[in-house]
Amino acid sequence: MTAVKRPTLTGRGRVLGEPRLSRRLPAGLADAARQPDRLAFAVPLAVGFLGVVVACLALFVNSTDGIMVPLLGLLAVAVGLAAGVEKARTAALDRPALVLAVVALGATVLVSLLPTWMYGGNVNGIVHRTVVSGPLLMLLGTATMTHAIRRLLRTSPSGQDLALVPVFGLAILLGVVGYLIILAQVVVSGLGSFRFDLLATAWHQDSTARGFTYSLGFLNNILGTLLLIGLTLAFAILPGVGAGVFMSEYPGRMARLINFCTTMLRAIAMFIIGATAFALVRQAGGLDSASVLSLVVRGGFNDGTQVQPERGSYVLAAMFLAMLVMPVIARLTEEGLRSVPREIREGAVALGASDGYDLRRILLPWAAPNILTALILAGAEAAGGLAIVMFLAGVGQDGVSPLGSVTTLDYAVFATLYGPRVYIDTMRHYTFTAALLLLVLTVGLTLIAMVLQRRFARRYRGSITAQ
Amino acid sequence: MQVRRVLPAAVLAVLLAVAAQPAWPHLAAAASPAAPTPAPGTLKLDPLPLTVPPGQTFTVNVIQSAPVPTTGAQVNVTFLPKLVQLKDFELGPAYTAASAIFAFGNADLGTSGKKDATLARANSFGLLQNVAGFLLPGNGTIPAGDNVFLTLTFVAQPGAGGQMTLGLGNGSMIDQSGQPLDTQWSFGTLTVKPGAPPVASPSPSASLGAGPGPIASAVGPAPSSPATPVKVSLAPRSLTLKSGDQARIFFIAAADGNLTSISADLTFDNTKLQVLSVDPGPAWSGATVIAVSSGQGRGVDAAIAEANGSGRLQQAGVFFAPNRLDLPSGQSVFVSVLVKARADGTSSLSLANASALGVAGETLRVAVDASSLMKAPAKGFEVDPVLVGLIVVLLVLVLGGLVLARTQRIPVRVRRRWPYYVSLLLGLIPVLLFAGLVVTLLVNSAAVIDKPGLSALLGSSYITQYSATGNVGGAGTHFGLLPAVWGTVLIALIAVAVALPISLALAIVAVDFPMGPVSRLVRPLVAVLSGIPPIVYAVSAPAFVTLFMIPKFAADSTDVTFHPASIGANPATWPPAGVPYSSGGFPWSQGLAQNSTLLGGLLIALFLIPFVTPLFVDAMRDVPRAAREASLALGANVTYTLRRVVLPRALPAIVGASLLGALKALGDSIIVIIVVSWTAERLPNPLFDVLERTASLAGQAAGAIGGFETPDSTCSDAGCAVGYTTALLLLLIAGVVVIAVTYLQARGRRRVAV
Repeated sequence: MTAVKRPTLTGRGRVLGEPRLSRRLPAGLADAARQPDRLAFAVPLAVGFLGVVVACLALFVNSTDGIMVPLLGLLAVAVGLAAGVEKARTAALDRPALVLAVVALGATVLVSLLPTWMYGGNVNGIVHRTVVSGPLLMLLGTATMTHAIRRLLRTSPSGQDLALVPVFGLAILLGVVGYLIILAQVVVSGLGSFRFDLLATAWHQDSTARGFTYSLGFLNNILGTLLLIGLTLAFAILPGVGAGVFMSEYPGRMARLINFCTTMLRAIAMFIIGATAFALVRQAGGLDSASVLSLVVRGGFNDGTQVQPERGSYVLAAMFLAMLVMPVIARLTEEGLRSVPREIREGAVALGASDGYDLRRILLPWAAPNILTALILAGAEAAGGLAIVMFLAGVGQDGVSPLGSVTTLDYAVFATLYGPRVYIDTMRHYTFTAALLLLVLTVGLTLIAMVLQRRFARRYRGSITAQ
Repeated sequence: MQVRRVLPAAVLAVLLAVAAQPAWPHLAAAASPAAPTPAPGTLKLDPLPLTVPPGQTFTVNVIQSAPVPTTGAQVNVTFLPKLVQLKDFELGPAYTAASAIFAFGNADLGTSGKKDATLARANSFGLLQNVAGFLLPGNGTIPAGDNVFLTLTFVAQPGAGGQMTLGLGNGSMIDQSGQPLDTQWSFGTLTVKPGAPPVASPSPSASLGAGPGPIASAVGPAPSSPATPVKVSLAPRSLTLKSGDQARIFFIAAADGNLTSISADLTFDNTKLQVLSVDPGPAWSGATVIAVSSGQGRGVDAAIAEANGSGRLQQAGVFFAPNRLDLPSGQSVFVSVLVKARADGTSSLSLANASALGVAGETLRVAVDASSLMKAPAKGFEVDPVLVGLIVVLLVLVLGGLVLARTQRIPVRVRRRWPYYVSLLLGLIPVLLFAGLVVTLLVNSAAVIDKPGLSALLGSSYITQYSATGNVGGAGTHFGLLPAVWGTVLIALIAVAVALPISLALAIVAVDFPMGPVSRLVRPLVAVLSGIPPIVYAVSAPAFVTLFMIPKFAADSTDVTFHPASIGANPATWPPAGVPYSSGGFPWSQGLAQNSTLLGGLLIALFLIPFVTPLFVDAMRDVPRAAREASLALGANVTYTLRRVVLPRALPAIVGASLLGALKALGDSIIVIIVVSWTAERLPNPLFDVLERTASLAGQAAGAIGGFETPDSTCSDAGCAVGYTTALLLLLIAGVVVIAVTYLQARGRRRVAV
């Protein structure tokens, strides 16, 4: 209502103009309203909608089972009747409606023949009837709604577009439900076991004569994640930006090679990078734990008399996480440089700027917002790079330092499930708390990146008239 | 207009709330600020220990002791049929209400609900299975505190004599909301001795402590020991540790038959070594770990603390409920003890006083051959000359380059092009890293040709056994990758099949199909969701299990942790007759544990949506607007334009994006590890059974290399090489897909160009 339409770069609606699903009654529906016999398909539409709603519920609720068969039958009858009315009115056979009716009838018979629980054939579980009837009803209901809308609004081409709304709406609804379940589980369970002192204590095990005492918390994991993000970005920024500049400014065989390698680093399974790092750690096992090489690779901490080796240091983990985030930085840098308007490039050359001047004063400043966004996204990526870190990390009871044993928040989540037994025993209750903290960190970083991207995009669009 | 805006949101909210209805108690329970660890309930036998004369009929009660009101309990009872026979079993007075459900037996064996058959089976195998009693919802509760759950009537065999363990197993209780309570159960000894005073009815005053008791120590030598004794040994034989180092010591058992329990004492020098934890070996994962302390404390931690004070870890071992089908036999690591060197010096380790129980709880003869030595040399801090040399060379190169650039030595032509050379040098870093990655994988997987050999990788089972040194690669080890390959296909197919339609719908709605606020929200929402790391998806599995897996793919109900009413089934007719899965209990764990290929695929699908949607959006936006406008101007509607103009032109890019999505799905290891399984041990039977746990290549390789699920934290040579070979295979697949996508993109651009 008060929405002022800003011109956007995103192109949302740029092709089709402003929302065409107009706020007025679609023309076709108005036509139908004038000729009530055209409304024959309103009943299948309603039944189809009801069916889709029930089928969505049936994904989670078994007690919908009782109304599935009647609904399928009703669907068949409604579509069949509508097709009959259509035939009487126009003398044209509505083939799709007949097919729908027959399929719905078949589905009704099939489902009513099935037992409530199905098993056997070695399948490792007992399958409820709704697993069959739910998707059937969902598909048939959507198809019926689509077809009914087509028939109802047959006189309006743009009204026919409405027929796709049930299809897309259902798909999006299913995705949304999945994500809501994930978020509800993590947020509700995470908050349930959340305590503020978890943020201020590091997990630690102290052995006393009569047993162990434990301090519980995620302080080292949080600090470790931040340190790891910093180190990773420090390692990744120069190669990433360099590769981006080369791919954008010097296209050719070499640029294609760089492009292929950065793409591959993103495309391979993430654990491969971690497994490579772990190979180094295994090789460093033969080294003296106090040597510099061993410290850099394995990490270690001085217990007062000597250096105790660990499974991997922050530096090593950051080097390998850098392999994961370099392509992100390279890609966004390249994108930023490609968006430099031609006028500016040509202007610089015409005024006699050297390559170096061009890069330092014109191209990189132009791409700076992209690079900043890339860094933040890369930070979020590094914080969630468990598949790499899990090979190297420890539970982090010896403090956080670049050559110390690496630990992160996402490893904390993992370690409450598959870490050292004492850690599982003491921290199992806080799995979701760690997951919630991780979620807040990564989603927060992503949000910041998004906001920055939008802000910068707007600023530059305002000043330059490209294209 | 306001109403029209609010109505869809309200309808959506109501729908979601109803859809999430089974989760309400679950979520509420999670949200309530409950004590971190609620007091556990206990199932115990009363009265024990007990001595009876042969021929005597006597009763033993199973007492349920819960901190909160309960509505049901379940337990197995094990005994030695040679000494006593079970005559009858009945629910206690708290369950005599008309609405109480009394279930027992094993549908697999045809004993479910048939008392005579159940008794016969119990008396031949020494195991009374799955005795459950529960009250239907709304029919009252059993009060907190001690209540008789079950009354067992035994008769001591005439003419028999000896001592046995009368034990409970697989016990559980449910509270008022149908949620399982944390439940412990206990054991005790029963002696059949001629001339013992006849026992009267049990007195409720005697009671056992919570938790598994000292099972093995109470059992004397039984007459039925098999010919070859169980061999118990210690590995590794010698170990060198620095002060502060941690290491695993393995207790290894070699038995002819299956074992339900095995334990031994570990003696060590507690001034040199410190025990940190006692864990079950891989074949015993899921077993109850036991260790005994003679002090007041109970449980393994108390035993460890006592051991660190006394130098003797007593009765460290593992125990399985005897009704398991997959009881360990042959050679297996049963306990791994994590020790830490306290100080330099030499410590000898030895095992003693070992004992083992067979399938029916009978004592087995044990031969101990175990001693080990630990040494601890000291070493100071020193600098590695090679690394210092490398750093110096690197510094000289960089500084030299800078100095050279400032002087006139470099031709002007080159100097003026410094951006080219600098960005080339920096840009080559990812290239070199990628090359290094490939080389490392090649080097580490080369060993696979030797052992286990390339042909072994084509096998259809992947089973790792532990050798005497505690490493993967013992007899019976198979490294066939076919199950994991098939698991990868299944998982990727499920994920792509679910994610692609949703992503495509999102992309179309975001770009070409206006749906009001939904269109505006898609892209920012998807961008935010793309920041969620995979582990978050993985740990949210329990919600999907409760909401989706259990209602739709339920299995055995005789385990009381699962309440049939919660999935809308009638407890009286549950499980359906002839259901094959009852011995192992409910297959879908409600906790955070491995579940099924299907759930793994679904979660990966959700993980894919924010990854694939932007690619689809780009693909559609690359279609020139001129094409669209022409179509619309000629009077076509949006549907027609989409079908005939936009989608055909975007198709190559959409196929490419789908391929990248599939690649992402088969490259995921975190979700697979946590939700599906560490390994794909065998091909699912039937092949399409997505309710089994068939891991993907990535999950299996990550587990094999990292060794997370095994007690030692590094993999054996063969296991590691197989892991790296798998990684190489995945890398090849990624290469093929990337090249294909590059080709498709180039082709797409040609097609799209106007």
